[in-house]
Amino acid sequence: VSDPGGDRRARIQALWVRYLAGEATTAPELLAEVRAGGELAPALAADAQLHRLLDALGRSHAEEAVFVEQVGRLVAAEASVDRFVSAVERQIDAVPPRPRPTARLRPARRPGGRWLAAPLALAAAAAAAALWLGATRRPSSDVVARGPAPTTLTTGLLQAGGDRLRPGQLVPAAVPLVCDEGRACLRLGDGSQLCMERGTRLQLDRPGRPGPVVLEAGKVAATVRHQPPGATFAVSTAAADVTAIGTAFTVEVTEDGRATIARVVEGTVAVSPPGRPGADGVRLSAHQALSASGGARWRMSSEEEREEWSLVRAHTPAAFLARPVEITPPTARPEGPEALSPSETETAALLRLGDALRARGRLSDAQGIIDGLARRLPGRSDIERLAAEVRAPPPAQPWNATPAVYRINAGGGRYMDPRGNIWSADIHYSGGHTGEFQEEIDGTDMDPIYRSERFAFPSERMSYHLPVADGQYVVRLHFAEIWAGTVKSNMRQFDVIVEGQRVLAAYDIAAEVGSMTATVKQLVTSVRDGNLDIDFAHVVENPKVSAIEVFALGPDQAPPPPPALPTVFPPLPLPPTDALYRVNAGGREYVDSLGRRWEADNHFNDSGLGAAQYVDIAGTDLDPLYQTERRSFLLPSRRSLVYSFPAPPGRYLLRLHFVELGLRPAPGGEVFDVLVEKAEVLRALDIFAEVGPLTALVKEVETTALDGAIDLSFRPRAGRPKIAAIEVIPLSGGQVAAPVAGCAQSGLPARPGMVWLLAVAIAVGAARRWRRRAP
Amino acid sequence: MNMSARPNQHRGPAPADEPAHIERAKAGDREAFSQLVRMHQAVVRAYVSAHVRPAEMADDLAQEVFLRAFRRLEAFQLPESGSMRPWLLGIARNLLLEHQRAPARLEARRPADLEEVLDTRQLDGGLGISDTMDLERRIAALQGCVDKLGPAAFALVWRHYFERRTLASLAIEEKRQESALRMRLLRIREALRTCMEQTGEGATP
Repeated sequence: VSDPGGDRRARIQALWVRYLAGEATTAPELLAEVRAGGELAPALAADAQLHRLLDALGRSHAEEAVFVEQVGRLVAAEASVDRFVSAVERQIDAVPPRPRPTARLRPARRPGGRWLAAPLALAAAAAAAALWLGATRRPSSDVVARGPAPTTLTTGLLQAGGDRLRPGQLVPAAVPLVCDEGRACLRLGDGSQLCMERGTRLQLDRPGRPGPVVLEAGKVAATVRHQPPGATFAVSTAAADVTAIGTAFTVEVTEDGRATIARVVEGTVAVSPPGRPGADGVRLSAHQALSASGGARWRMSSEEEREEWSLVRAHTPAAFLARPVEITPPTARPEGPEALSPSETETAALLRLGDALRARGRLSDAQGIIDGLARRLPGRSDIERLAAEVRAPPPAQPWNATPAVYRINAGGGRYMDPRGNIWSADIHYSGGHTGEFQEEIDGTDMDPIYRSERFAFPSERMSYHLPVADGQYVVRLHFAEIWAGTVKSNMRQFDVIVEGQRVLAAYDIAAEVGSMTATVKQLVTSVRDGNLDIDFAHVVENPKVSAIEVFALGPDQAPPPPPALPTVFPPLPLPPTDALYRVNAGGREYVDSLGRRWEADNHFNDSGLGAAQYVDIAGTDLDPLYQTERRSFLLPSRRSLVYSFPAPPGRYLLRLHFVELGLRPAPGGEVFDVLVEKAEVLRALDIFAEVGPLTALVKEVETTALDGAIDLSFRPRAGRPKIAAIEVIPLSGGQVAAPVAGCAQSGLPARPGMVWLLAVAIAVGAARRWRRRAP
Repeated sequence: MNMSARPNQHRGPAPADEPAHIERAKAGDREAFSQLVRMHQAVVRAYVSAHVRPAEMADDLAQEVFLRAFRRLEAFQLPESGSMRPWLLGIARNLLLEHQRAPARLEARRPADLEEVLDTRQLDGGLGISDTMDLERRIAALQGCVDKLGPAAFALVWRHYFERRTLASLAIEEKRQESALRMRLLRIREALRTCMEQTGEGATP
């Protein structure tokens, strides 16, 4: 109700100027005024625009030099990446391209690459042919025994013998499988993924053929998990066996059935004549393709490669862009406790932890612990027992086993939950966008419905209009906070309006259940116009929804009990840790294969942005740590990213984990200094230049905490500073030294590009010098 | 403060030199390109800032506008006006549309604020950025109106917006309440808006 009095006007104006000065707490009342169409709303809107225009002009005046210099750096990096790519292309193109055989699914196109001088081309072709024909004969033990690991259909439909398989069902071995309706994907027992295009015919684990995949027609895309020693992963066709060497690739049998084309997106494969699988065929690495009918090989055009990438990883085009060149990942793995066999006590503790993670539905963390134990202690029955439990289908939950009018997986595809309920792909929506994240979700066994979402930018409308018969309905709205940008409370709030009634006001998922945790809201509503309308309205950040269920409610029927809130689990039985903090920057809580807990991103000053790229990371087994990161704001006018770790006085080792997830993939594209306690410890760190994209980089520095906290900050030189994970490890008591001026040797070997923090200084002069250098 | 130091939005080369700088930049002269960035950054940043928050995201996008311009510079044909500004704003517009559509959200989503709701009132929910000419007229009108401000009002606008001083620090310096300065700035903006409306370039449609 608007009050025409001057008091009201003065109050709104006072709130408004406070809002512009950064007091977000005044926003709700102002929003109410604007939404109610108060008389001041147009004036506020006009003032906001003018303020912003003045602010932008002022910024461009004050920061002109910074801006121009930053663009100059980007332009220079752009020029250098061009040179780099063309140099690499020249090397790769040493093998001549070959016109691609007629593609069945797409119009034929010219493979990328350039023709080189004819003599060189001929020589290279001859070499390839020689390698092809002369592939070493291997004993007939082609078929590597594989354990009885079950294969599950994860998406799509599949014809298996006479049966129709649906997502969630087990896929039998040695039975002809036909994919005749869209795309279908399988998860194999070892965690590898196999997707097939429409028209594909194949068999799994057919006796007498290298496997697990025997492809008869069509095209498959494989993302292969690390294979245990002695095992191989191959796709065999009539023309060739394609064996993975830790890899993502596609194999296609052309329509006439004569040619087999292998295309490699990541890692390496060996292509060998049929019946002679293994690593001694023609080796293909990323960006290359080969037609097995003649042994010719070409570098894929970017268009071709993009398509292959989209088949292998449907959701990561940015990762493809991040890989314009091949960079050999470092082969040396950091020596760690994993090199040692665990004691009985440690094993028991890890098994307990794995079981606790399983109970919470954190299956991939549990699987990581099982894999880590199995690597170190192969063949133990207790480890296999836990593995079997992790694979077992979850128990039924009665509250979700009711027939529904609608079950909609917002922003996602069709899904069958563990109780056999089918959730339709996203339908009946209006407005909004879809997003998908590959994180594990706590408090549910239906992770896929929470991993996808429909969301709307604040200036957009988003709603669902579900056609129903008039009557009473129970509506369940499913939510989970899954985006790294909004992991804390007050970062996202929105209203939900069902049939014109505001049923959730300024709803804050993270405030209620935390991030990466499922929650369900249930309400009863009446429909009189044949449409059940659900609208979402912005308060802070973007409104979103994960899934919607609608149940009919008879006139005399009592509504079903509302679903329980996520169970509060007892604390995880974590083994003793050597670290004061382990933080997965930009990401969720993660328990690694050694049972070390990395807490969800915390301890930062509510600045910076989260970024995620769910792809394999080279040079580490801790992929989830590196798949998310936090990036600092760029310009001096914004608060820059600072992590602050409360710590009692003493000596500490900081282990900093970095990765180039590939937004500006070029040497010199992103360069920054790292400061600990305001002292520069890493100068001009250029992750791409050191290790390339999507590769883990670990730096260690020592520091002394003097003031009760360890501050970690960053100074940009080009692009944005960023961090993937942080460990703060107290050095042993004997090493906790009283603060002294001067230097102490860290004792760690120096590596190129690495600058160690050697100084522990409280000398006033040194402190002053640092302050002057700080931005 | 020195009142002769009124804001000069047209830094860098004079507009008449622009075609020559474009030619040199096309030939690979990066310094010439930097001059062009200097010449157009204020308008491009103002334009992007009008549609994207937070500010550092807007500036990232503005950088991307210039990077794209650099990549496509060879294909750029100088129009009769002799300025690349309409072309730059066209790139910015496409980038904003892409940004709004970006489904992967690697960095697409930003914490939003009340202002975005106000924008939907102001801009009818759409991008409302087809009339880039309008922005240039409004900036020109705003500059004219800022110049007409009295000395005290001008000083406050200049020191807060252009010298990036916080109102809190200005309040201490001038021995006034910060809340009083905020209200004063609101009144100044109201006056600027009235002035711009009188010249036919008001913010309200």
